[in-house]
Amino acid sequence: MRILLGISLVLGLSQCSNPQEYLPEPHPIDVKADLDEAAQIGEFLFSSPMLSLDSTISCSSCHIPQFAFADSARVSSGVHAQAGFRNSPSLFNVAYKKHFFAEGGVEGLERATLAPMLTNFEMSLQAPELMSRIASNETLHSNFVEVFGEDYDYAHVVRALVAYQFTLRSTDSKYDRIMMNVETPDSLWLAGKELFESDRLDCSRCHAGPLQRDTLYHDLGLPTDTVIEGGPDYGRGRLTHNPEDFFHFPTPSLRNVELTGPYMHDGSIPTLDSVIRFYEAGGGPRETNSLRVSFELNDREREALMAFLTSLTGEEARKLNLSGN
Amino acid sequence: MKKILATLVLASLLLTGCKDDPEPGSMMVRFSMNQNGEAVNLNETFGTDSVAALRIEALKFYISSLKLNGHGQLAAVEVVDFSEGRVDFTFNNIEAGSYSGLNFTLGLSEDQNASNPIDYATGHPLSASWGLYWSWAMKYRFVLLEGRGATDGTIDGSSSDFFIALHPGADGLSQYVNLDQGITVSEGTTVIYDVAIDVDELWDGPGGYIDLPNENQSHTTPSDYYLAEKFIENFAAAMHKR
Repeated sequence: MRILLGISLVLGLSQCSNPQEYLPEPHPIDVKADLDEAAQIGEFLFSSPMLSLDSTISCSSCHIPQFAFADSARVSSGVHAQAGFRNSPSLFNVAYKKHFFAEGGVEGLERATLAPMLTNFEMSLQAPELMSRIASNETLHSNFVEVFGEDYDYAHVVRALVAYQFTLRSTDSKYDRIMMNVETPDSLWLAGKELFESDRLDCSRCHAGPLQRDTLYHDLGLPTDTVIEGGPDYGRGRLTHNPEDFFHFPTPSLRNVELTGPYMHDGSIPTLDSVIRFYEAGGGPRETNSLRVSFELNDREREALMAFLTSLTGEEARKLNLSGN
Repeated sequence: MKKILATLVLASLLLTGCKDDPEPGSMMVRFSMNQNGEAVNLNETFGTDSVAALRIEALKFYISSLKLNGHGQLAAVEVVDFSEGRVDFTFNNIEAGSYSGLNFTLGLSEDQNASNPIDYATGHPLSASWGLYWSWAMKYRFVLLEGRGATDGTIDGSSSDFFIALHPGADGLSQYVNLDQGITVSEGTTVIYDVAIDVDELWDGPGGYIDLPNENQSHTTPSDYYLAEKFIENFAAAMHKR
């Protein structure tokens, strides 16, 4: 009976024939050139260490294609092997994102791209040096001239990277196929989905919609021992300076969550199973923890929830993951 | 007839020789660091009341809405960067005459602070060229002062050493600087308006006393905002015409 109810619920949602019909519109970008050509240059730059001050790291050092363009390290290392202080998020589906970083203070993919390029403990390369490096690379220089014209500048470097990231979509998962009514859900998946959306677990209160996230900031009661610039990581509060926002962090999308560990903004939880157990315990110990519930799962329920979560892994993401092994 | 023509030619020569408009001059605004009237250079060690030994290793800051009193705006925005030797700025076509002083904002206006660096060509003060863009917040650092101090008077890497990183930058932190010492611009020449930053007053001014061994890091975060505010107020007040 429960299975039948589940199937009818899914079928009720599954009126779409492709993911674009139930996904939000991507936020528009303007790269001032042909998008595909710009993206090709962007793809090259993305994996090129010339973007970092000491030429040791590229974008793909921290946003590793094999791990859904997230990092498998707790926190990423920048130039001169400096450790960052947050876990690098996945870049899949950034086209659908409006506000970036844990503070949520950066609007649009263009500005978000600029941040790691300039930040001291990330790539730390200012515009004049990067432009000089590009100008001295004959092939790259010619490609820029061809796509952006003779007067290309730093803005075009950023736009090429934006174009590439705009193409990184992951909407070809089992979840999508079920939503599109081209795959029949099994009972385990249905049970997992039901749990995920239940009042008891309350996951979908924040991990909502086809991207499995809201656009809000939450305090999960995680430890505050991460140090940024001599102080704690206030998250959203770092930007707003409002004590009510202290230690609040944005909800990440759960798409490809199977591949993006370790988890949480500080990378402090190593596996997906331990994330589920963290939520079972009602989150972290701090009293400002805004989670409303704690719960207990039996083995079958844990398996079902995991089946639902792993159904959010896209085929392309999985292919990249397997090709990296 | 010849006499009349000669008179007209002579008159026209005399008239063209009498210009009403004097030739304009130029003015250079030049920034330096200074202690007791002596120049202080980057990477030079000196003592202050706040700490026995201090070494400033990097200093950059924005000035905006730079105006010469009686003339008008000289520049909308400039970046001063001691590491790059970008400390003097020359402005041409200034009418010869006396001016009562110079004023500017230390920092950026809210509009400037909301700029997107990629809207500016490489090298422009608001471009991503100066290490002053706070990319995670879409804002700029207004001042960047970095260096080291030592409570025992010797910067040698020992336990009495400490690092200094003061990075104030947020809407509302800009400071108005009015230098009311006048200057005379002469025809066809460049006059220099020297602005000295008193390195003692950076730590003891209208913003309050800065106890450098204990107050040496500010990135305008919630926990160190008070220091950013104190430092930028002192910085503005430490600027004098030399």
